Amino acid sequence: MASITTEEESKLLIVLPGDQLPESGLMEDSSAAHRLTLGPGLAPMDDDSITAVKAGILKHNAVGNRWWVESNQRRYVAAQGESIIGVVTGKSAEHYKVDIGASQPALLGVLAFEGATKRNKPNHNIGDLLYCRVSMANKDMEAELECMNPTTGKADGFGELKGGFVIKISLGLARRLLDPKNLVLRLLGQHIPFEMAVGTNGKVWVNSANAQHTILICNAIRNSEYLNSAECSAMVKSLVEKM
Amino acid sequence: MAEIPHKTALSGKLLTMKFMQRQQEQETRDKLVKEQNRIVTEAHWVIDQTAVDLPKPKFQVDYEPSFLQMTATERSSVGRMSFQKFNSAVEKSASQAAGEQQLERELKRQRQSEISDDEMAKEMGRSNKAKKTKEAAKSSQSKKPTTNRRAPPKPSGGGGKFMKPKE
Repeated sequence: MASITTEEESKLLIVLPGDQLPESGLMEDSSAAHRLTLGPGLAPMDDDSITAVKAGILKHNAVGNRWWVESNQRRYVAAQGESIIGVVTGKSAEHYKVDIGASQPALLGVLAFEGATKRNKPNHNIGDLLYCRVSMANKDMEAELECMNPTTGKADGFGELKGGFVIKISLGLARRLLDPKNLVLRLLGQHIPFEMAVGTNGKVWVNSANAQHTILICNAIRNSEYLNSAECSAMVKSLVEKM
Repeated sequence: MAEIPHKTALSGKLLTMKFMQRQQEQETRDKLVKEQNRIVTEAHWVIDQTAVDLPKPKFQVDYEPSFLQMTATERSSVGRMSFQKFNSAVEKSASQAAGEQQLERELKRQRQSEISDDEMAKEMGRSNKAKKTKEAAKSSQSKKPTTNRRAPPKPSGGGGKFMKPKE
């Protein structure tokens, strides 16, 4: 097992599965009495060390002494609190079966919508797109979804997505698109009116006035995965000019 | 005084009386219950955990399976967005959500830097000498060897008594 020496703050610390984290490094922010929050990609091992289980860049957030590995993958693993785009694949008396791209389909309660009662239920068909929130997820059970904000009970953007087009992207890119200050989206928004929904499960829904715009937006999003800001602006510009 | 040659035994008729029968039944019941307990105790196997003294874990670890929670302190995440008034309701809610998240971050940052009134009073109250002796005492305390192994919870300790496993 390789051991990592902590390097300067400015350098990227790349870890591979099996790399142990040095305890001295983890205790830097130990003002909070040796509490550690492990995010995705890290796990404690039998010999009492913290080891990386995914390949990626080791990241640290001083708030709450958080450590995690910034990795990329395409298969989604449901986590509580994330917003996802799902496709209805089945209906039962109490639940909709929704495909979210995880290893198992998720269940969406028929009454988990804003203002839904037994008399007044929304009716969704097989094949409908839904923007939902994961209300419960663990590795042993199917995830459960809801189409409303749990604290307010309002829809808050969740619900059925009508029309539009869905593309599948990697999870890392999806997380970057959630940032309202994302460069690609801002540049596209300056030229084209459109709306979109980003699912943390690697699905993006785009809706615009005509098919040409939609295709342009989807291509721009796909291309922007490995481009830096300058290349990104050049790419968007070239696409928009061809329109 | 004349010797009583025979032992004082209870007569048969007395034994058939209800109150004597009750006593008998109580005794047999107790005996059966004890027997049951004995059988059940011997059937249940419990590891004696007082012998294995697992040290306390080094860090207390919380698990957070979502990437978004990791970066929530630095950037907002808004799921639905709209540009150039394509969907004005979505645009409004998006800017609202972004604003709320930013406000929460700012408040959190402020609260971190602030110090509560009680802590301030404590700091002021302690003199320098008192602080130094306290620190010296803390460091000299012997520490148990620590591990990250998650120790199973220790039982309340019944000794030889029957410990019924939780159903």
